[in-house]
Amino acid sequence: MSSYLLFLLLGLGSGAVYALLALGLVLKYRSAGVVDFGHGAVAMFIAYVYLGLRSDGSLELPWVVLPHTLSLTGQPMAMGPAIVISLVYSLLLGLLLYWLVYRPLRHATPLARVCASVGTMLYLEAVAVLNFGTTAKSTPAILPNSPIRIAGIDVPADRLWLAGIVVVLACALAFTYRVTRFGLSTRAAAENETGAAVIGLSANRIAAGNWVIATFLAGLAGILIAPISTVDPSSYTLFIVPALGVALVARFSNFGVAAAAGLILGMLQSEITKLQSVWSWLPDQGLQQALPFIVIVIGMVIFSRGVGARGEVVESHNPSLGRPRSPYLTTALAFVAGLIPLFLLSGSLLVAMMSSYVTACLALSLVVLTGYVGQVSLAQMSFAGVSAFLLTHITAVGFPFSMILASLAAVPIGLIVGLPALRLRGVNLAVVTLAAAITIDALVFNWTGFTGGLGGRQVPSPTLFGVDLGIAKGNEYPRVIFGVMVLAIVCLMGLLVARLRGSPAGRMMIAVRSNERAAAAAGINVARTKLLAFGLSSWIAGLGGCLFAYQQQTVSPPSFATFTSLTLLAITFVASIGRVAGAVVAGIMLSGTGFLVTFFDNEFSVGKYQMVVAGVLLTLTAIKQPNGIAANPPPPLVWAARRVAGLWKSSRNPWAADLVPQEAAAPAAGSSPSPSL
Amino acid sequence: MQTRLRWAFGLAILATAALAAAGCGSSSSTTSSSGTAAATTGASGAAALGTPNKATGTPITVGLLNIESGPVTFPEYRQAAQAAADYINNYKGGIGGRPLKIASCATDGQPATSGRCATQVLDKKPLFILGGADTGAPGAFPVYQRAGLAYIGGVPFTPVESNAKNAATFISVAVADNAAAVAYAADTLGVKTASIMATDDTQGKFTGSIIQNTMKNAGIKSKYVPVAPDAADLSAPAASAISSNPDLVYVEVPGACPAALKALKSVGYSGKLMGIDPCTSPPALKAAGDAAEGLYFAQPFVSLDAGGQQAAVTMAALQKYAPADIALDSIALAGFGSVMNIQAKLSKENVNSLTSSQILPAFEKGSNNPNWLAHGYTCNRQQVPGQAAVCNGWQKIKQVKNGQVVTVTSDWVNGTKYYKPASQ
Repeated sequence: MSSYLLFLLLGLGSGAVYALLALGLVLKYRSAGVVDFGHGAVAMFIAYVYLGLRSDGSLELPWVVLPHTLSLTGQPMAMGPAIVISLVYSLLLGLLLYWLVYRPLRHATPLARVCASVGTMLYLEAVAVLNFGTTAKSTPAILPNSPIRIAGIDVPADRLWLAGIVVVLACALAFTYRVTRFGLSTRAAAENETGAAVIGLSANRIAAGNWVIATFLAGLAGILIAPISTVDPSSYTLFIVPALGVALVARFSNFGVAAAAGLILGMLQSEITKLQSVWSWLPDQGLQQALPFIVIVIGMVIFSRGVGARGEVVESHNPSLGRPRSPYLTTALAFVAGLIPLFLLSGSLLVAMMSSYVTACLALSLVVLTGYVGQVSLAQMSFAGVSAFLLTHITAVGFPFSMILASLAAVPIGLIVGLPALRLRGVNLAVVTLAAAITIDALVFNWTGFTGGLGGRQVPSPTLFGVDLGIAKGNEYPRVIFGVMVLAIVCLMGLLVARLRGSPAGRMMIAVRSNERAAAAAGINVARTKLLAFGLSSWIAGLGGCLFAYQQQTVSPPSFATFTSLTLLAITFVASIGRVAGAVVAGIMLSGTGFLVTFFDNEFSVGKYQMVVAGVLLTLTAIKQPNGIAANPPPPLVWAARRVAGLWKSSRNPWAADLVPQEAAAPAAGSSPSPSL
Repeated sequence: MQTRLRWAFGLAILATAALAAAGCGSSSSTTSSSGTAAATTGASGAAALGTPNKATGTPITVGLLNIESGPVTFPEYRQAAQAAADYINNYKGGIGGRPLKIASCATDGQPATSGRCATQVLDKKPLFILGGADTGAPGAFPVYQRAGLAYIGGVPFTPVESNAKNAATFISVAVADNAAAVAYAADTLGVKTASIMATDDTQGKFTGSIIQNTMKNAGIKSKYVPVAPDAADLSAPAASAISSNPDLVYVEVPGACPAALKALKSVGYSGKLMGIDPCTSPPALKAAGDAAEGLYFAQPFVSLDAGGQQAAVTMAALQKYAPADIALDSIALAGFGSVMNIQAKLSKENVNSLTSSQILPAFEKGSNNPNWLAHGYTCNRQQVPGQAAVCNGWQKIKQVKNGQVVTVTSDWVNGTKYYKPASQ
């Protein structure tokens, strides 16, 4: 029995890490309504600042290309001053981030805020990779770490200290926000922003103050975690997933519950390690990673009221939707237009264009789910992966039946992942689906028999009526016929999604997105509508996964890792998540393997800076154009389109005169949607 | 108008950043090279490089995919390979008088990105592919194979490049290094029981199963302890690993090796430690501190501080041509060594009429061919079980002593006799 207790105690270290990060997440949500996916990245960056001060007294600055190190002392700094300077740095960084990123987004949609936070995360991670490398670093112990002997095994004392700090911080935060004037003001602004303004409280200043405190907490977490874990650009981002789950269990409002849930989760994970060595029937893979998802789902069942909404002055609007006109004609024109690059391009750009079409199919799954129904999913690439791997196993039937069966297999998984959506929506659902994606990653994609392990699995070439439609045949690569097949399928999917928009089912989806209660009052079965969207979306994602597999010819687990879904959501949002045209823009302009990125990498070799640019672009678009590029093409693009049209006109092309006004007449943000698909 | 100005401003910032990035990316190697050469190459280094002999013929272009973005990066591989190319182009007459030109593409570990990069380097008409350090290689190999390009050298992280019919690599990762370490544990250290801490992901399961397989065949009873990749504190897995009082704990958690070693120390373990090469890179050793003390591991290279002509040339060339902050780990040595081996082998061919189809056969000629800083290689597809494309299974056993890496075996060690893949 003592060894079971011992493992519970050993779990306090991980638990304290989750709880520390969760406290900051709760504070940010309470004050600014942001579920901050970049919180772990901020903690990571402050940890690097601390390491820099401790190793040679230099201060790290958050940018690349320009000099990023400022020498303060020229020699290693003592622990105390280094901690103080790092925490002051975190205060300033928090203020800067709030002012530049989150203040402009105070009345933006929750999804816009999520995308901005993802942009911040990508930026800070990319800066860390470029400036510090990816080899793990560490620092000597900060807290007393003399071992305490229990049941013959030493328990490091710093884990107990860390857990104690978490409890003290949670109590201090709870006290502050329950008793002090600042705390009460924060609660008032969160509950009713208009009312707070009436009594002279500035919601903006209050949110800024809270954001700075939350960033301070992130910095403190980063520094305290460093000695017991290691510092590298990605691990802190991984820690944020269980921390988000913990914050969700605490309904993003209760500091005490967040601290307790974090510690309990860590202890449970630790206990599983013990049980795996006792019960041989327990699988030796994925259990610890799957635990947060289980905790979240159980938590949601218990806390059935869901996560409370914040009171805001302006009701945030969902991303604008397209209103397809003449979808059949537009689809036909899009198919013809899509054929042109397939015949004009060659080599890497031709492959990139095919990849763009595949990504467009994957992005269409989000247009249905997030654009039409407002349900945020961070598991789309997991659905795609399940179908892609299944495609390699289906040998009894040929193309296209193998593709159809494999894509349909994603539907039940999508429905299971979508079940929590019956109680949750928006970014809270995003947290659940993120945990689900990690679970699928740990339990399914780690299963070597299914995925082929590190080497992956070969994908058979699609053949129809004896005609090989594959991307390669003999030494012929890439083959246009494959691009034509992908284009045809993507156009059909686009047509389906466009037709769905105006169908009774589509109207029900949009009603649910607008107001679930009103939709239910109007007789719409909200649960069935949501599950229908999840099922349809996962099928389209599965189809995209199959196309991806055919294009790659080999599929392996890293292609469907958890954070690829986050990237897919981000680029679709930037492109315009409510429109079919947005999916096309996401594929062609924003996908990492798509046409535009490949073109730029060919011309400027920007490969290793791609994530930095992506992070800035994502954040900037979330702030400046939350409806996405396709909804409101940026003026430079409109100008370029005019120039192109002008050239056409000068060559007496009769289309040009019609094209220019349509492009230039793109509506402003919030106005009626464009007539495009 | 205001919207336009905002967009214009935003895009201008982005464009400036992208152009600055591009400019930096394209010029950094030149700047750092000349700066480093002027600043740090001493007389002894210049002597090691020998007499200048500049290559003047038509360049031989080779493609290189290297992971330089994402959660794990190895920029030092490309930096060292480029330094070696600069060295042979300026001091060795290139390859038969033709300079070696490396057309590289930065990947992020995703197979899809590697597939994209493979098509990009193909646009530059390479004669063959210089193997890189890229965990997304499975996405690129169908492209190489379709184009009939050989893949020579590199760090074979996945089973794909380790077994591809168009590949020949000079070192083994995952099999020969772990097999040699296990053989040393069984035959020299007398280990009978061990615990294996391995990351609970695809890579960890792959390598962990190799270690288990090898231990079983070497007569070591092992216990497998999975370590979640998102685990913040590894003291629970560490406690689980030592709970059976093993003779040795084998640490196979590349991303969190210092944390694992510190966790083992924190739960009171003081027995024998064995690990993998990434545990002993300079930053990892610094991070682990005294928790890494005594750690055994296998490495395919002679240490640079062991002396000898090749070590001297390597150091001098890296000082002259590589960025000053290059990580001098085994990944860098693999990059440098791959280029040197290619130069040595292809210089013997008729380089002016070389075609892609002649590259792989050139490396399959002979046995025990000179391998830069490593044991000789023989590309007969039989050197390492389960890694047909790997031409060398020999390793040096090293140990961390007083914070430094020291070689503990004077002879090369080959433990592949203990590895029996399921298919064999």
